[in-house]
Amino acid sequence: MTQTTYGQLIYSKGKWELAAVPPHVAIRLKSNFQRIPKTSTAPYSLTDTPDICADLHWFIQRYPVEISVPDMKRLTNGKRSFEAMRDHVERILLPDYQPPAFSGFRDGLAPYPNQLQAIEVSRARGRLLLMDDVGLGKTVTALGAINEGRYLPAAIVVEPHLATQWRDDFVAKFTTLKCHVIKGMKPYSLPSADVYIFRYSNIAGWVDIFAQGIFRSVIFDEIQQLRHGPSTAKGAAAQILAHHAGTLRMGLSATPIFNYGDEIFPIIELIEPGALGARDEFIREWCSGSGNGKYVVKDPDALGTYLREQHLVLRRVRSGRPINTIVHEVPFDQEVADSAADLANTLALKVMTGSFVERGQAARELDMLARQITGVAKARHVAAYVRILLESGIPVLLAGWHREVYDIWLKELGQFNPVMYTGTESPAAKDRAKAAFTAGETNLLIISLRSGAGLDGLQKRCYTAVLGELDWSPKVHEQLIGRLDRPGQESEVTAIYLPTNGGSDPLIIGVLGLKASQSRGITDPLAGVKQVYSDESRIKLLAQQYLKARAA
Amino acid sequence: MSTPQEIIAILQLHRFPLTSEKQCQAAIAKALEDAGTAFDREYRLGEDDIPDFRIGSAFIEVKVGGSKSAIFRQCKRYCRYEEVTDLILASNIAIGLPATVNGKSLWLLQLGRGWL
Repeated sequence: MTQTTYGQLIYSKGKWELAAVPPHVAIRLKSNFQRIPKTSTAPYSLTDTPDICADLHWFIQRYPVEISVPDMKRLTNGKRSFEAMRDHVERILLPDYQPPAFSGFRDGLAPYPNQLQAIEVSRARGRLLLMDDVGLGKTVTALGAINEGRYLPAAIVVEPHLATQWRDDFVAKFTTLKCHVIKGMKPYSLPSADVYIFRYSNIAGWVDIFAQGIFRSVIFDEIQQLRHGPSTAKGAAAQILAHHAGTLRMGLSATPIFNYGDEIFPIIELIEPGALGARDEFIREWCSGSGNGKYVVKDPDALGTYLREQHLVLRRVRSGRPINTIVHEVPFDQEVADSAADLANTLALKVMTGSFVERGQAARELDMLARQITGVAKARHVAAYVRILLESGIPVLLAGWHREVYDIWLKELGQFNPVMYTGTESPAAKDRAKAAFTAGETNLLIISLRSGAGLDGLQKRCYTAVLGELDWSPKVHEQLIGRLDRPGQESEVTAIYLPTNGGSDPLIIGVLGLKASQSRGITDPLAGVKQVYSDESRIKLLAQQYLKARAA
Repeated sequence: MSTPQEIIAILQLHRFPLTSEKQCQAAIAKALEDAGTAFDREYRLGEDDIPDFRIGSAFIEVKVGGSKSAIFRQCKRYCRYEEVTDLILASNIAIGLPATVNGKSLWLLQLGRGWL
């Protein structure tokens, strides 16, 4: 008996194409493979990946197709490779997994069992986005993974200020690997080494070296730096580096998604190109437009579980002490805001009516201005709140963004000898400010929301962060609070947000909520609704004491 | 019976999913259950007027998207009904609301705040 077939399946140049599919099967096909455009007509095309092979193999059991023997073999091999990898990695992740003996670290040092599991997962797949919480040792895991001849030499790309820390505190401390930190953007003859440390700020100059394929593996530390993809110079360089370092590609970040969920696409593209299909396939399958050319992931939990099933990502969370999060609304000085209204009106008109370039520029300026006006309009009230803490002798890390806001805080809180750690200060001035704060010479460190990445040491002196202005990215707040909530902190950390019900704050809070919700779904799918720990009792007590002292 | 302030205080301390309204509603229902608050889902006030939750005479409408004017029109419609004394708009949209409409109290629960 001849078997009924429902079209042809052909492999061609990295794609599977389905042709001559009857209409009712085409409907089934599109509903099963969301990355196929609903409006497209045959032939339908799907990027060849092991999981697509597995899905297609299943689909053609129900709707048999004409397929050549070599293509069927390729499809079956892809499916088997998907299943074998899934089974292998699942075995590694079992609680009673016994990893093979590990050697390569200095005497007396070895990765912890959870780190050994991640090392094995990364080696099994040759690709991994490791999203473990801060404190679980992503760095040690990455060094363990590359610490074998077949992965060397390796390129490690890090944030500019962390290059020497990687060399001295990690590579030299844990391993006997020879390490060279790359200087500058201009290529030179590289000395012999096992590990080459690049900075995100200099990789763009080294693309020709990357293209020679001398690095067998690559580690992108804080890979969210590459979330804008190859449209940036560093993103394009990273793509070339990743492409030629095929033995092992790892990304490290507890917070890979800073904004909307679509940022995961360029990151996964570096780890395993094509794993989420082509960009347009990814957008169709997983996203919906949110305006301004940005995309929101429709079901972040679903994307999160999908990535886990591919074993492209691994995340373990630390069961640490929760942050005491207090959100206290402060007043909004309307008259302060009104004084800037004329400029805002002019910009708003340009946003609506200007040329393309003018519109973009004006929109950015308007956003900056709206945030600045909001910051200024609540600055005195933020200062008043911080005063209560300072008068009780509590060291405070006060975060903001605009110079105009800092000026008000400096004036209102001048008696507490504030020191500054913002974009305006030189590295030496920042070091002095940090030293003064940690030595107890002052109880107030005013910090820029985005200046504190990698800053260590404040946790020994301070456990209270006040966010006097808001950033557009929830991860910026998280990293700022992470200056205090890190190893060495002995007290409960309190994060106090002081939004206002005016200006841009309500809008930003809405956007922050959506972004954070997207990120949590993808990184921690099915984790359920988290209840926030918020205990205002201590702050209320301080406020009472403050008022009592004032009245006396 | 919980007051609107008490309901908001409970819900404000949760991080509800904000991409899908259905998932958000389900999560709010779970939070209310966990808090021991009795409620009805999708109580029918009228033909097309079905707020997402009823807790006594306080009603909750959940909105994670949509135009501000459409949301406010919906709120005004709900406030026409006698059963309603308080309406809580649980939303991620930056929207200003009057304190009362038709003598009914309007409350805004900013869902984004829980994510700070």
